[in-house]
Amino acid sequence: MNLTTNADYFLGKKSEQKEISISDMFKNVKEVADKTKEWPVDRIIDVFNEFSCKILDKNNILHRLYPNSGLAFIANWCRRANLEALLDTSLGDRYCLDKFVESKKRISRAYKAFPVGVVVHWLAGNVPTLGFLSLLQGVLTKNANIIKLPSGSNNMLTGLLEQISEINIKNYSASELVKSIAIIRHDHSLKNISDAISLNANARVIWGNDNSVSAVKALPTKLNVNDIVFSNKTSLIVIGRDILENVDISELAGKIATDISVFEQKACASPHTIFLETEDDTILVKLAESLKKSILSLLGTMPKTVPSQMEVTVLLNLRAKYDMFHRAWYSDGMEFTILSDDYFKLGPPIGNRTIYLRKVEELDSITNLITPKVQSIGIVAMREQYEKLTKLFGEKGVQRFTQVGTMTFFEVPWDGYFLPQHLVRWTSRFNY
Amino acid sequence: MIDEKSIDIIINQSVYDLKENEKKQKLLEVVQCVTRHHYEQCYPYKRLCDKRGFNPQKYFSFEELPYLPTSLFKDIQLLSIPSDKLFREIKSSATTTGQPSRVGLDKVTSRRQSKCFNRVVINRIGNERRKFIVLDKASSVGRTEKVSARDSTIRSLLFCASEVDTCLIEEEEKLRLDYNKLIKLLKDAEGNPQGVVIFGFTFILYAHVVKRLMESGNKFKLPGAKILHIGGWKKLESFKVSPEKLISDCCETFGVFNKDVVDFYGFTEQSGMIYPTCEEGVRHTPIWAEVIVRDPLTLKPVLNKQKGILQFITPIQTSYPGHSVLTEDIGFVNSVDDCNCGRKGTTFKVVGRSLNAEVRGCGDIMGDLFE
Repeated sequence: MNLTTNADYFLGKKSEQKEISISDMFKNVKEVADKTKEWPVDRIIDVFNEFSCKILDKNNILHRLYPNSGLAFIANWCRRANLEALLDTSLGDRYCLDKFVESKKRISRAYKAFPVGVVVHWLAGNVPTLGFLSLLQGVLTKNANIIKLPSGSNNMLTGLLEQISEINIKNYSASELVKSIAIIRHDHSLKNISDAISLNANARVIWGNDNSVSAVKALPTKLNVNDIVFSNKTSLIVIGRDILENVDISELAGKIATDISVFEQKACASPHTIFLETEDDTILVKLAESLKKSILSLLGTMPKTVPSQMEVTVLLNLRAKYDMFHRAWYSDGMEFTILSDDYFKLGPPIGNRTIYLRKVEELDSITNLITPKVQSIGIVAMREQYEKLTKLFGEKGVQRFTQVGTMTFFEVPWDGYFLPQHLVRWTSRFNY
Repeated sequence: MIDEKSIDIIINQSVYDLKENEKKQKLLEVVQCVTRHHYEQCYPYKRLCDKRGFNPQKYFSFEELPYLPTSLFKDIQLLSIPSDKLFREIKSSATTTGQPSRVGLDKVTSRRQSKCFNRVVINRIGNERRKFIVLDKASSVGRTEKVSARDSTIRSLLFCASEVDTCLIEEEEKLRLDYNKLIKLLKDAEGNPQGVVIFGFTFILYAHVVKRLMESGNKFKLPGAKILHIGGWKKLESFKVSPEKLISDCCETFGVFNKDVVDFYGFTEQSGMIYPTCEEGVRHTPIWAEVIVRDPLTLKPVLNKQKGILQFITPIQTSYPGHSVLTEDIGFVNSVDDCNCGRKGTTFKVVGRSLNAEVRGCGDIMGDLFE
């Protein structure tokens, strides 16, 4: 039976969700990738560097079509220096993607990283930007790539690929490179289609919540498929007692406000809870008031997106409950919400610039709340305490410790992965 | 103490006869009085007002009155009366979160709600008792120990029924249309169409009755009969049916007039408040209620014709602070005082919920039960 899916983007063109054969799609993207894998990795980096300049331009139509979607973040990430560092850090030497590279450790051995073949990326609806970053790494490692979008997604990824396709570097036209990518969508309940896509994948990058990740993981696969899972995670901020008593609260609030405002807190690295190591309520109130000012002042550069009616309901419900039984600070509209209670727990994650402020006697006790579901912790603490906490929390499964203000910066490793490593197959040889 | 008389005065007035400016002042005075009552009698509500810097002792406008989101009533039961005065508890259908809204009524509030409900229904469909063909199972209109929100909605309408028949059958917790019975009831009704009301939840009416009758080519001549429906539209999305199409298909199938297809809108958190579509297809606020449309980002009231989240204000609930609630529904104010149907006051339309909203409402739940 010839199974089909709907393509947003295929053969280097926007496809308006045209029905395409799954076997043809795999065949086509692989054929193109087999040709473009001959491109030097530096040319592929050049393409993305050029793309970075294009989308940094504020007049680029994508800014109007997809405001507040992290385009500047993508642009920043696609810079040459960043991509070189990404590949060199992940693979040891990026040129191993082009040729056998002599080992610096073992005499007369050389290594080459071959693409695994076709990488299928199952994207989550929450942050399409991150999906682009996994696609980018699939392309840099010279694989063919298929993006499976959630059914309600916008067309931002197609827009990004259209812009890439216009780039020419020396004799290399990116219009060829993008033909190795297909963007598709279909109802996830169509199991035979999902089965066929999964069975043809050489690597599966799976973004999403526990349920959607489990659903993809349950699909049949090749025996040696590489699975990389970016499941839903939560993040938080902890502030130590010694720092809290000496720090400039308004400066600290400014940094936290940035972490809270980026992506409307839909990224796994967005903090939802701040633990303050103090018994002094005035410090909590001072931080809440400072946060209020800082988040408001950021609205000019990071305008608030209009929340859905369901999100409004959730926020108004929380505000009402916290006004009645706890404490809350919030804007007149839906711009931000700061909640404070006496609970000892994480979140829950609400989004739309909502943060829980909670006092604890000892930050060490937070260890009891840490599970591998915690991705990033922004730590504000003195050196000694920082060393202690990173060890304690790291042992419990935390993947990143960051400074506040930079929590959502994408970096490698992400969720514990050097992704390019999982998208290549290594071959070694002796030096002839 | 609350001035019960001032509320009774307003609910005894003509339902839609006052112009906006005349109505507003009368209603605002009563709402201010009721707000002070809730402030004094419901401590959590007082805390909320205090936190928001709202002083009910001072003059305030409708727009300044704090509102509670309807979802709050799922999480906590707020009361402005001693618990021993509780007479009845109403629960919603609990489809969104699995947790129902719970509102507690004392006898006075319950009586007022029934009165307001009945007066609006009579104003819309007339004062004559009619035969009701209810698109539900027999137990929904009979005496049962437990009363669901759906049954309660149906029974509240039967005050104007002279006779009641149902045409759904429940088998193994699934509902099935008794098609032959329905055909017989409709054929019998052709003898006296003006004396008949067909009532059902919106999804059932369209997906399992109108559509089926249309597919089988069965048409009836029931000029003067009323088609009343209530409940969610979300389940009808897959049928791509708009309110206009529902009306035209009803007219074609049952041979009724456009103006006699009436869509009721209401919600548990202000039980008793019911907003039927008028002959012109819009909804009117009665003298005892007002609607405000708020922007989903700024929460500020928007201009007429602009869409936003619907807030409803009414003084009839004195047993719990449900006098100002923000619903989960999107709509807009259509006009003020100039509807061709002759009713005065604010007219509005409900356009549903945002795409992110989940299935909700008795009618939607009922759709799940269908075979």
